[in-house]
Amino acid sequence: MFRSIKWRLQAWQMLLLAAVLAVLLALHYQLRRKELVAQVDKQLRDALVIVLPVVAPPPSALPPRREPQQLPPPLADGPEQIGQDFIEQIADHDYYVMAWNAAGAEEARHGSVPADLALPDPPPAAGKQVIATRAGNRELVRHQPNGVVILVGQPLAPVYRILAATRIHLLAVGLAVMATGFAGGWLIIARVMRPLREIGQTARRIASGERNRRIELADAPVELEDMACTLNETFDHLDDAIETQKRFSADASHELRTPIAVVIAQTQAALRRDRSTEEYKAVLEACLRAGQRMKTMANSLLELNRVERIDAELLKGRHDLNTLLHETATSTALLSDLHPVEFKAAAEALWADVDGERIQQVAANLVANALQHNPDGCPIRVELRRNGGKAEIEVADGGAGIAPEHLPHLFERFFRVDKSRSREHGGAGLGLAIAKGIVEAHGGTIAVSSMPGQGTTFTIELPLA
Amino acid sequence: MRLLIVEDESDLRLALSMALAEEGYALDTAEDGREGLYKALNWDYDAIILDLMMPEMDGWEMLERLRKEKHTPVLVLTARGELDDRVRGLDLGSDDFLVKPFEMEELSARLRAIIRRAAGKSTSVLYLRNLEVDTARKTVRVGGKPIALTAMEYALIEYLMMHCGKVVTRIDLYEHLFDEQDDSLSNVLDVHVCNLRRKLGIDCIRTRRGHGYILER
Repeated sequence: MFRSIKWRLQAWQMLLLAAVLAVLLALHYQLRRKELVAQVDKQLRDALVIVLPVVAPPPSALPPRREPQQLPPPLADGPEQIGQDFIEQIADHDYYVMAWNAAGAEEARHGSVPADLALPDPPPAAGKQVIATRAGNRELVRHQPNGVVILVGQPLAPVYRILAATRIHLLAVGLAVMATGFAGGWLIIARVMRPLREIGQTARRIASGERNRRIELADAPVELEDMACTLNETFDHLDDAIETQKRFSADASHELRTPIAVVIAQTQAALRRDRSTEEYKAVLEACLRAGQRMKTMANSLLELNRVERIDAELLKGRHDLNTLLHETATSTALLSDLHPVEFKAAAEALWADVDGERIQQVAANLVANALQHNPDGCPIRVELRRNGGKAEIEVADGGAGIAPEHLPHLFERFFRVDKSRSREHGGAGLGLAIAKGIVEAHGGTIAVSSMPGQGTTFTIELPLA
Repeated sequence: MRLLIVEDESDLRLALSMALAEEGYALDTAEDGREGLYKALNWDYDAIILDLMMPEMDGWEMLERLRKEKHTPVLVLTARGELDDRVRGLDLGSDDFLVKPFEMEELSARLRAIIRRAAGKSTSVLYLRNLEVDTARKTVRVGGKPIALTAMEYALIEYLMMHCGKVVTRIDLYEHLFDEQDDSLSNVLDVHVCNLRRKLGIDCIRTRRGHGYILER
């Protein structure tokens, strides 16, 4: 699950959302808490102002110390009266008030004063007041200039209750936002991932045999277009390779079918009854011919297979192509009295790093082809020249030429211009494919040009040393 | 029955000729499509065995051009056995298809099948009253009793049976029972007919003077 991009994206976005939410909700909670405490503080300050005239009257007006019940009836609506009323109801309001005289002795106590309450030590400086939280209560301590210390307190329990409710509330909000975020993120990620999934599906379909299918580039997002393009190209290449391989096996089996058919037909026909020695001999000869054709075929196939990974096997050395080709031209010219081979070397030495034997094999193959197609008496031209950093080798005949529609297929395996000619000449249609393989392994190129009726020219280009 | 074998591979052509001649067919051969088409258009063969990959004119083209003029049964031989090729061959008008390498037995059987299909018969054994001709085994029985016939006599009765109820001219018989190597004189045919009548012991082969012979139903 955690290897899925979808889940990873989802996890990251949930983490981010949770972090942002935590900060925001914590901030909100703190502000709320401060606000509530500030309210309490304000109430305490107000209460202090109200109780001050009662608990710690200014010294000038200080009446002789009396018990509270002995106080004269205060003036209606005067601050003392208000203070008195307040103190009477102090328990209802959850306040408590305490006062200590300058000597530190308890002077007054109103409301539900906590049992452990003592004179703050040290008290605030004279004339100052300090507000603080102590054991769940908020307490305002005022040190009057005359040394009296007054404490007004209020339990924070109601504030804590409100805060607890706020916490639950915020938690609920947080969870709701997370749930919404999860669902939304899921939908968005699913949407974003859809092209990827589609590409995957298409690739799977191609893998399972629908080789003609390709990834639709039109609806792929720009970011995926490159990947889709590359994939499509890869599929094309694979497809080509499969096609070539298929055609090769089909061709190879097809090429072998005819000689096998000869062997079977000849022997089955011969075995139907007793025959004369001559008849048996004829059958054996036909079988031998078929066998030899299969042998040629098998050798060519092996050779072709070797050419395909020839790079590692090339025995390269520095050769003058003029010398190499001259040897080939003279030795192949001996094969035929009817076709003179005209050899024309380049004006300068053409040094190249090549496998001399292989290059001679290619040249011999081209000359032999030319000999086959040349009309009697017409010379075959083998010509070398330098062209920049490359050597050009031309082998030309004056034969019937090759029809333009055949030229593109000339270097393909088993391709024959005349479908039956090779049966007389013993070729398998692999010679030019092998030649191409060898030349390309040397980093060169081979090309053909032909005009029907005017002959055919093969041109090999090899890089010079 | 007279066949045309169009095949450029000489060893295969020879093997087919040998085997089929021994089965009693009259045989002509051609080395390429051009020669094959010429012969196929000029003689009425009972069947043509046609290779597809040939020089000059390949089997496809020959078949296409032949079908514009004639309906001779054609058995196509090919080294390519792919579905596309088989479909194309059948669509172009070949009657059957055999992929190389093939068994001679199968070739013979398919050949017999396309010949009798062209004659409108569905099985290899042909009956006429108490006469029974087995084209697969090349045997003839009269009233269940086997009759020994020469190859030519058998070929004659088989051809007449295939065209039973119809007048078969002497030219037809020459065309279908002798190949281009034979130069039999016309009275030889009468000798074979005469011998056949004697051996079968039934007067089923009637002479239509000036026309030819007929095997009456």
